[in-house]
Amino acid sequence: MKKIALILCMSLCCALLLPACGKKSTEPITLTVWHVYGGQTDSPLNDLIDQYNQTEGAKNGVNVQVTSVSNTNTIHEAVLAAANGEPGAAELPDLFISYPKTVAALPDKSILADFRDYFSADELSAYIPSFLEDGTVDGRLVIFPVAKSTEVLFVDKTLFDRFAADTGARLEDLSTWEGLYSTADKYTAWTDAQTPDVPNDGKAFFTHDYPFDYFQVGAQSLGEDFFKNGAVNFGPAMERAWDTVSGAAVRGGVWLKDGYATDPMRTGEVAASVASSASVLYYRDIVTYPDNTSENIKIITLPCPVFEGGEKLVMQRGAGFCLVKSTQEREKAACDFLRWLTEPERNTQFVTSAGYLPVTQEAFDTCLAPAVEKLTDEKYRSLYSVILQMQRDYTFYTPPQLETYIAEEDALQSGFRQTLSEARNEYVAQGGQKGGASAESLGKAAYEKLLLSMGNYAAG
Amino acid sequence: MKNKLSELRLVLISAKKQNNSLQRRLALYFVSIVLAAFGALVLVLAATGVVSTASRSTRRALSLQQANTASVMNSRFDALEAQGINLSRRLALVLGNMGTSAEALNDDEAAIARTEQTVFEPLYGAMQTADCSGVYFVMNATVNSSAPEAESSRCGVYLRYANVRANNKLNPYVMLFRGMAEVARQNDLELHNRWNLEMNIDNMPGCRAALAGGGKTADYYWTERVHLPDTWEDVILLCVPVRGADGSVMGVCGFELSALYFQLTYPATETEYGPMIAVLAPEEDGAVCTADGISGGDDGLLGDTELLAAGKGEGLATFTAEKTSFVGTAQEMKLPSAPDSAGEQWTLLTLLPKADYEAYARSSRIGPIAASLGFLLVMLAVSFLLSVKYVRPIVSGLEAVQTSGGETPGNTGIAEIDELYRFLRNRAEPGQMTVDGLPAGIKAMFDSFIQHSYTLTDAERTIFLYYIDGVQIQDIPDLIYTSMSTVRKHNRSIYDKLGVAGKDEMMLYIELIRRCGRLQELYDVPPGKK
Repeated sequence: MKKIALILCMSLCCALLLPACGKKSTEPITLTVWHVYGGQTDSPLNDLIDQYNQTEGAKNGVNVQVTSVSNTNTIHEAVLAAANGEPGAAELPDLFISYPKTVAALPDKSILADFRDYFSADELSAYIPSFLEDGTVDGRLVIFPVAKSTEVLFVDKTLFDRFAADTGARLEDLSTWEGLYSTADKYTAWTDAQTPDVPNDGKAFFTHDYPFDYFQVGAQSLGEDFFKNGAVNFGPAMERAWDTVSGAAVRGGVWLKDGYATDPMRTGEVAASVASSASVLYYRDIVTYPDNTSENIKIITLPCPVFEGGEKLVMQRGAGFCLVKSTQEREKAACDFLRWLTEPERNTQFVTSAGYLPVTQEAFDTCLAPAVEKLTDEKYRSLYSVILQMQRDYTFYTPPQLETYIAEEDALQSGFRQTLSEARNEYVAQGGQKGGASAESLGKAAYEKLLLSMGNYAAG
Repeated sequence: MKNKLSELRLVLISAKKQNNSLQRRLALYFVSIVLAAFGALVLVLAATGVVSTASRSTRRALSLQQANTASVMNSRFDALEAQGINLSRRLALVLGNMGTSAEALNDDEAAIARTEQTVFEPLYGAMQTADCSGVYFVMNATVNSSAPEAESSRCGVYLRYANVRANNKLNPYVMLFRGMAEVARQNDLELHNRWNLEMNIDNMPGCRAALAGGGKTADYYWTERVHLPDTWEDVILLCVPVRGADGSVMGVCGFELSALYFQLTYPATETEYGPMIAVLAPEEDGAVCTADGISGGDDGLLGDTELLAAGKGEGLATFTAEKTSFVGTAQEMKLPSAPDSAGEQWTLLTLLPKADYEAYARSSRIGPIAASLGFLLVMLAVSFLLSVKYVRPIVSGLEAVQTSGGETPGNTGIAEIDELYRFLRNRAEPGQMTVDGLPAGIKAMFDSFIQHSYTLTDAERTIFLYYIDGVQIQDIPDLIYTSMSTVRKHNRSIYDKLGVAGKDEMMLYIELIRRCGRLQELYDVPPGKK
């Protein structure tokens, strides 16, 4: 009797359990990502993500899906729109690239996960401490470093050589801001002279992607605090920085339109720009002129200019990944992906294809130099030789985390462009008439306007 | 097996003769055997998938998904085509108002700049309302006819979204992909990272023919997949000729659907059968060229390979790619192709990875297999139980009946069988009736006869014993030296004392008593009776 009962029980168990054996394993987790690495070009990060999905991701049942590749400004706007619940705002993805300034502007930072919940202290010790600090807001590590960048000077060497051949200008002059703007003046005059029939059509020589950084790093390098009580401090160093650039800008040597430097470089409308080292991906070795003729050019990298007598200081930039809180399972999956992504070898492979610096000490110490050796693209070789040089000779500056940062940045940058554009227009309208205001005085007047617009008054 | 069958035969035989309760039990035993056999049959059918519904249900699900996708896709494409035609008319109007002709624009940078600036608004506006990732207008003119590659270079404006999502209408981030940089500056747009001044019409299938305008040009058509030069992106383009009032073609306009946008709009649908992937591609001679088409989100499964349609198996069509196979459904999509294209047929496929389908089919069989296996085991257990409790005793009892050689077998415990055994044993030895086998009434009669025989006188007894020995009545006078009338007088007394009617009855009793083995009792008179 007992035997029969045992058989019955076993058969019932089999009947219940067997269907479970044939069921599909749990559905994969799909993580959505917004990133900036690649924009409209072939994206190195997209390739890495594909690799992850096919290897580690497939093993762990995780699928990382890129739903937007653009630039930090776009993501910045989209993130704030989503966080503020603006109409038509897209839903936040699981992971998005962000600067500290975006996180600082979030109305509710608790929507972001703290990476310390998923990375042990031991694991985090492998990352460059200052990078981790950059990502720490209100004591929580909410921006995970993936790639860092700095600012460098890109020069269209082909154009510059033509210019230098005629005017004797030297690349060495571009090592200081003073030298750079003086070269800009020469360039404007030189290009104007190419079309003697058309007056005042000299081209701009230079543009800066983030004029705010020019002033911030400049003032700090001259020993002055750039911020006071959360607002821009218009002290003597700030004024000096303004005076250095304004003359050349009024004379037309500085590109004052909004947008990234890659635009005017692409159309041959500037010959040099200071931009993030990561912009290298966006600079093309070709210039197309309005008459549809194109010219292959060589772009080289030089160290970011500094003020004469000032400290060799340069902005450290670079965004990291923010993780939006969802479920523990999804958050863990996202962290596993980031862990994979920032493994020293892999991190180095990625960053060197995009003009970034790696984020772990091991990557810096052992992987970076060999990876740089393997670079074949001249542009990249030039870039990395400068980055490594700056790493030796410069001090990296990290901007403070202020809630007012973005507001101050927007105000100063738009003020800079607008006031100096107006001054430029006035200068052009004068048409070189005798007794007309000098570019310098117009520049100073522009500064006054800026101060007014920013609600500040110069001391004394 | 043979034993089992003969066992069953014996049971069948006895069943006919047994009482109702045993019949019921045996019937139950038979039923359990039959059900076990049934369970075995179902198990075989389930295991071999003969009765599987996986194919049917998968086909239904795929058809449903296909129908949904086709419906959505058709309405989206219809809308885009309508909007493309509207855009074309609007551009024709705008250009007509400018008094511009394509030929007049050649080599005139300023005029091209003005024209591009003018067409910007209609293009930008159309882009906002269309379900697309980009919009363009190309004119049959170039800014510098002596520039290298001027032969394939045409001016125009091409706008693309930088932040493509499935639904990004309200926060568009538009970039100028082709067109004069001034247009971007004046409209506060950035240049696309892979911007170029003019479009290369050799990259736009059918464009050259459409711009030429001669012969029969379609009202609109969709191109195959096109790779945007120097980018990581592929797109398909809607192309609508822009005709002037005189019918001549001034340019071609249309919308762009990028592969990324398409993937976001038609993501892989996770179902219980697996991920279902939508593919829109041209088909030629049974081969679907995914490299020339565009697919929805595919979780990395599809890749750019040619899909060869293998025949229908189990009602589902199979599509084999380089590395993976799919099952799926296909239907024709009415998308006009470029006039000079090879007349391919656009096909919409809904695909399910074959591995997922097979896993589903396997798991859907597991249920019936497990259930029928369980049922079979239960029925076997029940029949085993019944056999042990009710059938085996019958059989072993019957076997005992067959094999016993005169020895009294042990009690089988089954009354009917014991009864049967006794009956059969008595039948097997005629003339032999055991004392214990007599019915009680008959035994009493014999006892009475024997007891009364003890009351006979000597002379009567002598004659009685001669009768037992078989002596006839006419011989008795000579044996006891008396007359026949005296013998008759004794006979009458004997019959009265024994309680019989006559000699015949008395002889019958004596015969039966002999068969019972009690004859000796008639001879042996107990002391005290003499």
